[in-house]
Amino acid sequence: MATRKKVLLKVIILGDSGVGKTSLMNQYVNRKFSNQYKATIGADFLTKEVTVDDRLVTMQIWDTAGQERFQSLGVAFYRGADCCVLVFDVTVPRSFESLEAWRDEFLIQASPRDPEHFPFVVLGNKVDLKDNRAITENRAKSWCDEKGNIPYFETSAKEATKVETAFLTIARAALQQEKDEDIYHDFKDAVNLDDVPDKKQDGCGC
Amino acid sequence: MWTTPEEILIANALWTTRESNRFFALQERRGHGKTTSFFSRIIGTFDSLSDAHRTCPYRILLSQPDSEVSYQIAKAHHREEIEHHWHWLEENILERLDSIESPEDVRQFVFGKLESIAKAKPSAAQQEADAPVIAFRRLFQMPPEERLVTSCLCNYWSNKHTMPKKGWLYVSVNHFNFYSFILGEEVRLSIPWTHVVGVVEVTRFMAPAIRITTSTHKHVLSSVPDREMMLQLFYQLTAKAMSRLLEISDDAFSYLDTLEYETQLMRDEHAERDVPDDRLFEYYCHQYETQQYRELFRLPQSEQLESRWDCAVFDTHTREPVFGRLYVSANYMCFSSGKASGLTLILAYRDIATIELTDEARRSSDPAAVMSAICITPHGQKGHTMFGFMADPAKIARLALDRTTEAKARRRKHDAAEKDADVIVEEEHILKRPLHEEYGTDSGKEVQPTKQHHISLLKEQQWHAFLEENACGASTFRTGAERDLVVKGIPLKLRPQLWMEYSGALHDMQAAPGEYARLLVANRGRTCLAIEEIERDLHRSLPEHPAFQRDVGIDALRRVLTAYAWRNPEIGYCQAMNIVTSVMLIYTSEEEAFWLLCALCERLLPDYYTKKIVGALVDQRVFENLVTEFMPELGRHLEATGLLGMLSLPWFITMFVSVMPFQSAVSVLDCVFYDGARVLLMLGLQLLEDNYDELLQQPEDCYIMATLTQALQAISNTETRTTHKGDKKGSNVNSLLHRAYNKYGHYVTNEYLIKQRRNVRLGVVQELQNSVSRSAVRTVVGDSLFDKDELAFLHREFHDGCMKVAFWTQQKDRHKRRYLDQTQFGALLRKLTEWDVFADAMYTLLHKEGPVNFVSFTNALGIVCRGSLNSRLVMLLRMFETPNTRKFPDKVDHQQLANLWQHLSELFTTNSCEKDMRYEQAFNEVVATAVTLASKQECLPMSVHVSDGEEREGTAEHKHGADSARQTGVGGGDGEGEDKGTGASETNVVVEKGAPTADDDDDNDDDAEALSDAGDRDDDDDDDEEVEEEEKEVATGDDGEQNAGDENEATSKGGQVVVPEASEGQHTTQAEDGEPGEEEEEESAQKPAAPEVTTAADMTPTPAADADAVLMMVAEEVGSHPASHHPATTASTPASATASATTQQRDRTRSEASLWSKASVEEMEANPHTETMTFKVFRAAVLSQPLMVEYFERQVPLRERD
Repeated sequence: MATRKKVLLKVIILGDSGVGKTSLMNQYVNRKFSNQYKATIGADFLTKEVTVDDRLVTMQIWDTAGQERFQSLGVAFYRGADCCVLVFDVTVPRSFESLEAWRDEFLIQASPRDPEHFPFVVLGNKVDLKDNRAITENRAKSWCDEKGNIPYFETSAKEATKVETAFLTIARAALQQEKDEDIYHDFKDAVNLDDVPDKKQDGCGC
Repeated sequence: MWTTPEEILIANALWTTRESNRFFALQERRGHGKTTSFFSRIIGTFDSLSDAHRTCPYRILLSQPDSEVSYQIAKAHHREEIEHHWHWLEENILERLDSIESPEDVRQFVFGKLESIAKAKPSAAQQEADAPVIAFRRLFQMPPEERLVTSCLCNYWSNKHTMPKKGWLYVSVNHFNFYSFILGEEVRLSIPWTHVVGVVEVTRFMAPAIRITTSTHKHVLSSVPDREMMLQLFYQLTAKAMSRLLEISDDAFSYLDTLEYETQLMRDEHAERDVPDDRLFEYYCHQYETQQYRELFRLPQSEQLESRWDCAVFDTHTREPVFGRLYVSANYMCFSSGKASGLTLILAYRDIATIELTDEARRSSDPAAVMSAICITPHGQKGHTMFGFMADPAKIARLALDRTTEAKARRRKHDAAEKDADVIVEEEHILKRPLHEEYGTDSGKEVQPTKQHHISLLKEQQWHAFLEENACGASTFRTGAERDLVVKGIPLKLRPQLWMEYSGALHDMQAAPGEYARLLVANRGRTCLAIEEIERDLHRSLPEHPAFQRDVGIDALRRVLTAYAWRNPEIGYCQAMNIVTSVMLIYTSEEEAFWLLCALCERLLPDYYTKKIVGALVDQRVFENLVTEFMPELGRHLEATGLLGMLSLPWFITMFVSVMPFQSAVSVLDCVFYDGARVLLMLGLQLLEDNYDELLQQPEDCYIMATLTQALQAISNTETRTTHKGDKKGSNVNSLLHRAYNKYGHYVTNEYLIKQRRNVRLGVVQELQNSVSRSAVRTVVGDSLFDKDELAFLHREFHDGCMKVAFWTQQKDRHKRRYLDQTQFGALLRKLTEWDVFADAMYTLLHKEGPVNFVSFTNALGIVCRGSLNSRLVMLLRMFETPNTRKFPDKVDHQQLANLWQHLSELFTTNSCEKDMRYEQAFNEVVATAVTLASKQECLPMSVHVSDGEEREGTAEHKHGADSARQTGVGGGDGEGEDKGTGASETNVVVEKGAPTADDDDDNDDDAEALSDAGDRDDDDDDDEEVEEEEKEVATGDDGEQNAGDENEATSKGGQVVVPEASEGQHTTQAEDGEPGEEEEEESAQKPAAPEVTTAADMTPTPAADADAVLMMVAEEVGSHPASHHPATTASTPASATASATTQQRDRTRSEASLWSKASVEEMEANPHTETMTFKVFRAAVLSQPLMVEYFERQVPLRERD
């Protein structure tokens, strides 16, 4: 699997409108924070070359529109995603409550091969706004645990808190997923037979 | 119905006499009913083609002994109706007629009677007019709520027919129906408009035809009279159906939006309801014309077309007449010359000062002729508009004058409103000037090089000259010549005025003066989801512009967006509206920006910003088709990456504002306000064309996107500063627009767009609908006993059911339109299963948990079709739960059992699939067993021994009891057996034997009676048998007798098989039942008020339960093991098992509340003894009969009729 030179990892960022998806992406890719972003219409993307565990990979990060009505867009680009990042705003309870719907929506639209083990990463953004915080770390963590040990990070795109670490985990998870996909494509029948065992948990320790 | 007497010469031609007496004959028309002779078919065919098939197949004649002439005195569509009349005649008239001697007097008497009846009923003429409606309802089983719009004779071609079928087309509000009967071959179609995916004009054998496509079939109609109008009607009805689909297809997030409001669809429906039935077609025609009129002149939604006149308007300069059509409505007079010269003129009455009728010398071939013309002079203007060459100038002038007077009166009222609004404007600090006046049009410092300044001045001069030249009173001629000027860019100063005028926003504003301020004040402090969304986006609209970096811009933006959200909650707020509005605020005043936004949302970009952004999706699809047409290679390339849709969405929905520098995009806005959404499509095409080669070379989707993003960012504007530094080619927006118009302008016209949208829209909505359906299926698949395909089928059926609820009930609450009501639930159950006798009880049961949605519907259906024995029995019992059941869990609820028996007996005796007498027999055994068990459970200390023989006798008796209960109908169970005939009380007698312990006071009297009845059992039994057999004979005639014959045989057979085992069960139970029963009684005394039956029993497994277990075990040996069935059920749906693995968990949380989910069914299966005593008795009784076990265990196939 290490034979292929160029690895392209496709990462989708989802979450309610205004939770900071665009800011997180820009903070990670351009190391810049600006409060001059327009609301994302449709979708946008940025790419970044990173080294993950001594491997050079290109991350293609897709930023999406958060407003519900844009969901009907057909979201063709969900297909072939290697990792899905769910973002909520720790100061807005509703954005946390929507995580479930976003996760479902992604699984329905992207229909990954092995939905049980598709890698998600949850980011609770805007932790710099300590005074307005409405969702505790514990609450978010227990939700993530419940959904199959999804890695959880508390980030601030504004102050660049944990953004780098989070995206590294995202990259690793995506890379693992990519490998799994490769194995699947190479030995389709073989995998089909022992598809059942739960051993191959995506071991993305956080 | 009774008719006015009509002479019939040859009474028997085409008719068969069914019944007759001395005076009357009841006849049935041949070719109806079941006869299949060739002659009958001919008549049937003839009837179906002529109007005759709308008249009735049954009639009653008054025959006259002395003459060949008969009189038709009654007719009917249904046999029942005519029989009703017949009986009435027999009972009320016949005897009297016998005493009258002269035939003449007989006639007079009958006619007199009829006349007096007729006076009390609606006139015959009215009934004649209703004939098509009646035929329509009869043929398609439509309820009165379904309104017929029109009907006509036409040819029908289906997929399989090579020859057309001639027949009647019935167009109703919600369905497209066709009926034909040709030589015994019947075609009967009834398709809801919501199923239609396409309506197009086609040719069939050289003749124009209409093709209606659904996802599975193609239906072609030819020789349709008034085809154009019919086609328009189809368009309107499908469009309406699509709005309905969209309204109903809210999804996962919709719970957030709790605001109640009236949708456009509801308003339309309301208006439609006020239209009388016979004017419905007219109403739709008028709606269509009005819509055309409003679109043509961009008038407010409220404007209704009154009349149209052919005429000419005289050119102000040349005085040459331009021919066209004059339209008159409540507030405007408009003129359009049609496509050729493209001259349009809009006159608002409020601007008109005088209307004069003058004589104008005709300048045509005959110079001597003089003709009348109407000369209209506006307020404070020199020029006037003159119309001539019209049919009745005086009438038009009069009309115009009246309207002007009315408009003036309204205007005075408006003035007051405007004054109030002015105060608010001051209070709220509403911006009266465009933001650019203070903050410039640039994001950085305003730098206006002299060259650019010069250009803009020049442009302004050009515009002024143009406007001067084309001024026409208060209005301007629009000739199409100004398009070139618009494409070059409207000068800054003229922008507000021209945007308002071209977009029609000016008319909207004038129609509702002060509306903007009113909206702001009325909703001050209110909040809803849209308002929160707006708040989040205020700083994310145009952050690069200085005005939006401070409160002045942000506040204005907030005001405009919230005002719009309150004006139109159906749209509320859609991202992109913020970006567009902020740009408009730079160039226009705040109120103007508001009205421009209205014009965009409601007229220029139709449905772009709705909850599903359908309009944008539709235009996107039209755009994709255009790309494939003009640039096939690039089209294929982009299609392969699946990117075009996502790419073009921001182009359309923000009118390029979010992807271009806004100073450039404003030129696009100029054109959109002038020409509508077609500009966006043309510009998109031109953009792709400009970057054609580069795009083709890019293999990856992200690079394609990057290429276009760069190209768009580099687009500049002549007036403002040129391109950003370092950009390679940055084209000029105005030249881009110019090229786009030149290249695609002739092809992508507004007419083209309207047509394409119509074609594409149906598909887009259906796709959205499909994805909603997929989501719904995915949500329940893990927790349902059905597999994915079955659920998909069920969702279609469920959805159609909901649609019918929406069609036929005037449901105000739009959320309620997503649930089944009792009628539709019953209809679906009848259609899909054989347990429809329980429809009402099941609905009531489900409804206790909330409105019947897809989850509860499939859960219930799952139990009916796939449930285990146990879950089915639980459900059956629950349906007949009486309120006090839960309070005394350890007593048998006789009421409940009695209710249950009645319905079950219906299931086993009337259900067409179960005519088998063995079931009836087995069922009666079950009742008997249950009764015995119940009595034992309650009277155990007495320990009544029942011998084999007695038992069997009892069985026979219960059978009759159940039978007669069926005949007397439901309700015998409520303890008032007396009034309901011996049969019904017999059931109660048996069931309520142990009832003295029951707490129901009302029952006591009956109980006493019951006991005494029980004492006289033998006598009663005999009586019953006789009574019952008599009843049977009367009711069912021949069949009844046959049944009775078989009955005895079946009884004896059944008895042989069943009795020994059953009685063995009895004995065993009895032996071991004794003491534990006592204990159980005690326990029930200890816990009389246990709130939850199941939990109470769960926590303390009583000895009684053990005893019951023994009973059940015995029974289970007799029947097949119920538990063995369940694994088979789950195994039968392996697909769902794997697919659902992921979804299961989340769905569990969602449907946890549902009592009938798969999980709770499993739970029931695991703990079969946790139900009430009643249940235990019921269950044990059922288990004692192998046939019953078999019945309740087997899988019931879903009936998939299509």
